[in-house]
Amino acid sequence: MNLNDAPIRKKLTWVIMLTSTVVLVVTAAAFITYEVFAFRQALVQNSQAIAQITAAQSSAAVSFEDEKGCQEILSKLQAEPTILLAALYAKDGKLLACYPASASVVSLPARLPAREYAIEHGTLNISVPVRQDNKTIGALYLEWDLSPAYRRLRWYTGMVIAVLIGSLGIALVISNWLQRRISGPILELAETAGKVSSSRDYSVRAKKYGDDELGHFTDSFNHMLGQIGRQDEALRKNEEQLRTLNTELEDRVTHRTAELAATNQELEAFAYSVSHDLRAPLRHIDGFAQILEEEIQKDPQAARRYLSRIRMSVQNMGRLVDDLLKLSRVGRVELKFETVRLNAIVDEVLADLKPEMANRAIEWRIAKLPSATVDSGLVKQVLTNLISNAIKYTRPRALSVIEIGTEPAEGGTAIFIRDNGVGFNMKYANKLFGVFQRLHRTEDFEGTGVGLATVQRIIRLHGGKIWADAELDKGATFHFTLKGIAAPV
Amino acid sequence: MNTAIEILLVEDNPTDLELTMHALARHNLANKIHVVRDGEEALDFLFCRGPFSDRKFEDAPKVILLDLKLPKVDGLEVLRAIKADSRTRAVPVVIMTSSNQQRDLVEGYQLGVNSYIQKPINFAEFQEVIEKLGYYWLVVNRPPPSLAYR
Repeated sequence: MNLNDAPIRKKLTWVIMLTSTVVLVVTAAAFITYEVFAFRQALVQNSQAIAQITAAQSSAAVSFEDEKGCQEILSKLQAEPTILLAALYAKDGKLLACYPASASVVSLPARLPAREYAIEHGTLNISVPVRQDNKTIGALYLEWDLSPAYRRLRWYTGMVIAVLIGSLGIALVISNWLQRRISGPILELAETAGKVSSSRDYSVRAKKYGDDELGHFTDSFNHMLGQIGRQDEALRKNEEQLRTLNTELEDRVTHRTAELAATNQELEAFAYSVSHDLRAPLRHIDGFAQILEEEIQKDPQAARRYLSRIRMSVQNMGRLVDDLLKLSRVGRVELKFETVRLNAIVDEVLADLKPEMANRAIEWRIAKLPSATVDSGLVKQVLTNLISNAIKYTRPRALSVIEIGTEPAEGGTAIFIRDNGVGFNMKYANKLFGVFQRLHRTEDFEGTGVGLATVQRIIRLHGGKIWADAELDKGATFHFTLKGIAAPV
Repeated sequence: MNTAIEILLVEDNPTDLELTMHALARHNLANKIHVVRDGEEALDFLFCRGPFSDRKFEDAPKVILLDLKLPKVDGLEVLRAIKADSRTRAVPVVIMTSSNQQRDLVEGYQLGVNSYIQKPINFAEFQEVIEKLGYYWLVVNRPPPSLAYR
């Protein structure tokens, strides 16, 4: 396994174990080497001391070549059970005695070994001179059995190895515990980092285990998380803001596009209607003028009628042009908002419409209306249109009842103008506010078909809505809202 | 048969109506004409309902002169209703309007109008158009047989 890819836990255990093993093995090896060396030294010294003592004791017997005496001295070596062989030689190398007595001459070296001692074949062989008056008179040869010593050494080594293994076991346990102290915080950090990156939750914090470098690292990490969290939040907030702005912008674009489309449609309807309705009076003028030309001699009475027709057409054309100008002005002139009492405007309108009410019996039911922040000139135009319509379309009634009041509506308060006039069929309600759209014949109820289109345009400019409900021959009610209308009174 | 309506004139504007009638009368075409004043009345007449429930589909006019800008139901809607119903589809319809809008022309023909005339501003021209129109649809053209109205 690649050590780089190994988990940090294993790495730490490996480092500790490898170090402890090397140290323990080297220590044990040095220890054993020293022990072996010291043991041998002691053994040799001890053996040599015994050999020298025996040699000293046997000097008299050797000088007289007293074999029996020699034998006696050697037999005392029985006390040392590890002595395998012993022999005393005379000066000329002649064997004087051997131990044990049964030992064959073959197992003894024929000649004295040159070295003072030698270790071979599991035995320690020592030879010492036998002296008298500083003169060498013979030699003593001793052979020691080393196997008990080796056994001891082996046992000793075994013990050292056992201790080594035991120590390694303890080291493993300790390293396991120690590595956890080091790897634990690191793993915790890694886990926290993983959690953060997968869940994008910057509120989690790594647990701090101590005030060491890892502790500082954990602190820094947590601090960093806090910063990232704050930045993330700021970023998210910005994003949200951007999204809101975008949505607003989109809404505005949609709104503008709708407005443009509506304006475009209005313009198209306008152009269409102008081509139709403005041509009509011209045709009429030309028609009656020509008829007049033809008939003026024949029938002066008829001629007068044709002339009045021509004048009517001219006036009609003038009204059309005026109304169209009014309609086109709405929207081109900047709105001038001011807070006004709607009742005051209604009063003004009623005063203005006095001539239209001549010879009419009208019952007015005017409620208390709220104040509104609007372009008062334009709102007056709206009320003039709606009230004069109510007056106009109640003309067939003996008693006209016109009611102006307020009612709750979606998004605030609506103003309504109700009459008991001729009404209209709701089937045609969608045509009410179109330019030049009329639901009545000109000879029944005069009009250009521009008024309600203008009204709708003004209401739209004020962020409001206008709608109507009616029943044929029962009356009509027009409702409108304006953004600037104050809360219900 | 003599009492049958030959022309159905759909016209809301009283002045236009007077001028058209004047032009028709000049050419002796005004006696077998019926005038309706808006789209709703035109449909009531053609589909023999309301005040016209005594009419029969077989007594169809030889031609309908249809203005486009009408109160309530406009001319194109009237045309659509006529051409959508097998009992009225065969009646020739002539649109007579002040409008020279491409849109109206296209939609008129899409809906199956038989002729489209823009009323000229010049009254002399208008009279000439009316004369030709009356002559063509009432004299030259062979109207559909009554079998066609079912």
